[in-house]
Amino acid sequence: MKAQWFLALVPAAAIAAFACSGNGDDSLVQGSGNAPPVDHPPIQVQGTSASPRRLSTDQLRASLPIAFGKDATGAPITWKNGANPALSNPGIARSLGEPDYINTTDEALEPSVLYAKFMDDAARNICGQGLDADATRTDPAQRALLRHVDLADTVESNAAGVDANLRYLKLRFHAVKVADGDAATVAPLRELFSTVSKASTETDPKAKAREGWNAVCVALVTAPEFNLY
Amino acid sequence: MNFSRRNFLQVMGIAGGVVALREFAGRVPMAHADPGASPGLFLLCYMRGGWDQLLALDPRDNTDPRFSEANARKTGGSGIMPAYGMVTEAATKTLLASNPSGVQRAGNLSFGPAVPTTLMDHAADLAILRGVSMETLTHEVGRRYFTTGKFPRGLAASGSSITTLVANAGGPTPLLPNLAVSTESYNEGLPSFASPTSVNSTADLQLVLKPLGKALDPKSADAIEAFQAKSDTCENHELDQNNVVTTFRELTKKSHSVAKSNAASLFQFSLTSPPAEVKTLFDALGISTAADLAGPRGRAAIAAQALAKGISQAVSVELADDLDDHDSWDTDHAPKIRTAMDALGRLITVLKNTPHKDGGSVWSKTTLLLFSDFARTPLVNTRNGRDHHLASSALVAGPKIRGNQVVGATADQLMGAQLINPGTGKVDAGGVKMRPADIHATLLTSMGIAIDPIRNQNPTVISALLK
Repeated sequence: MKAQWFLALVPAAAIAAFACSGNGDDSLVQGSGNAPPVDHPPIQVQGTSASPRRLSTDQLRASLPIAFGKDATGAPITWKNGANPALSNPGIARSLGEPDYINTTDEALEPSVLYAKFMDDAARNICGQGLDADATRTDPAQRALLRHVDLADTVESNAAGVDANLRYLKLRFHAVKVADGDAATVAPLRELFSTVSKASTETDPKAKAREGWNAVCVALVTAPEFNLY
Repeated sequence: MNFSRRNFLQVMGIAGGVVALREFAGRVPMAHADPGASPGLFLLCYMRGGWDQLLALDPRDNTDPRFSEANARKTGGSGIMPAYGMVTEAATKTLLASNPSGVQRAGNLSFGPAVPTTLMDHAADLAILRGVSMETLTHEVGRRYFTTGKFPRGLAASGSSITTLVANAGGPTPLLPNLAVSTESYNEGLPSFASPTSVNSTADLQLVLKPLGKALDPKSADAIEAFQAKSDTCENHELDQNNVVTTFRELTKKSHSVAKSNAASLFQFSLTSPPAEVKTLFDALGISTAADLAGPRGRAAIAAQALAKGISQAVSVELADDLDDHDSWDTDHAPKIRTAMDALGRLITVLKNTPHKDGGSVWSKTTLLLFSDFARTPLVNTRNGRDHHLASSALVAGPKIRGNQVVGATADQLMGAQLINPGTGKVDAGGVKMRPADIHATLLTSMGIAIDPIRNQNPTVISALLK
């Protein structure tokens, strides 16, 4: 029994010995062994952080369907060249520098002319698909792009709705939260929408507005905010 | 060692500093010896798999008793067996009927029996480099060594391709400054405009040069471009470290120029009713079938258009795709050498016949390097093949390169690389090995491009090659 008591006391004693003491035990404040004391002056560490880079081919493949949702058949919307997913085209993937893990294992993630050109191609195609899908959905809440407007709305007929939709698209594509009532931040996009809608040679108001939203969508998808992080 | 927090932070600091220094050094465009001068055009031609230089750039007299099979194989023998008589290719047989040595001469150059006259006709401009020490028998290593001039890190390429260095020196003006046709090409730390555009075919080039999908209404397109030009958001500023946003916007603007240019039509390589210019190119390169278009001649045509039409500053192109004949060398190798070198010869002719906007011909502004992974053994193995051999050869040319000469040599026993005097190009027992790094340094120097990127290879400029 005495031995048991003694053994029980040992860990308690050890804990007591290592516990922080309220009266400033010097050995703890100054560190022990070769560790620098806690009041050591700053050590200058030279290093680099990852600088902004463009989306990789794989990231594009993954993010475009998320940004644009599903088409009328329920299939994820992605950039298509003809009937096929463009980013699965070996020529496009190769030209974008996607590694094949035979000759190359790294993808250069600096912007290039080719990347910008392909994003323009992608934007024109995928924005059209997104708007086509939205046109089949009567419930705005189900739409990926036209969440706060009716299909034929213009700045003149529904300025608040257009601005709300522009704010929504900024958040969706650029992860930029524009405050409700902040008209200035979305003014350039509003002007783009309005200019293109009015210049459209279409006669159907929905088609005119569609061209405006298409231009907005292309501008957002080809912007640095979408492509760089 | 007593590893402490202080030690750890010091080590990380040094490591971080090295990384920072390397990053900084890599971001600065390489100095051009004469910033106002263009480096000219560059053509890098690759023959994949390791060539038999006995059939091509480093022949031996097939009638020389030293090189008979018996004398080649005996102990202390030459170890070199041209074996031209084993080659089944008709063109080689025809040549040997009138020239049993198999060695063809043009000017001061000698070529093996598989080299066609279409290439030999340019002997006055060409310099053959023999006895190039490859220091590897691994395909990827040899290929990447000769592509960048730096010995690879394991299998991974080290440094930027020479085409990338030239494209960087030339600036971003061309539509596709650095075009890689079925070849590897690398950019390590240089501006993105110098990065290679990799294509395998004209179909790939059409993807690159033509807008894909439905075009926007011109007014929409103009409005979007105006929006992009004026866009100035907080997020742009936040992201614009190292000017990456500024660069992206400039590149976006340039991509519109690419799309609006008619460059895609230059590569409309259709065999049925090609555009007139393309037809002329096809005739010059001997392209009349789908197989021609898909093969070395077709790839040579892409290279020719890219250089001749000012699309690219530097082009790398694969002219042979499977030379690794460990067996069936006797039936397979010579035709592939001939086809590749014929494509090159015709390509040079096209460039000679194309005027350059600055006067002279496009060829007069072009520097050339032709290489393979390494060479093949001078003895034929038991499967009628040849294996890998360290001492290789190369072909160079350029406005500042002295043609019609052979620099370096391999020995007449075992065909090892010999040391050379870089000032004379002749064998010199007290001289230096000639390596891909030295060839790169020489070509870069001839183009007025600083050799800083390969300086850690301690290269020697072979001044015998320079005009």
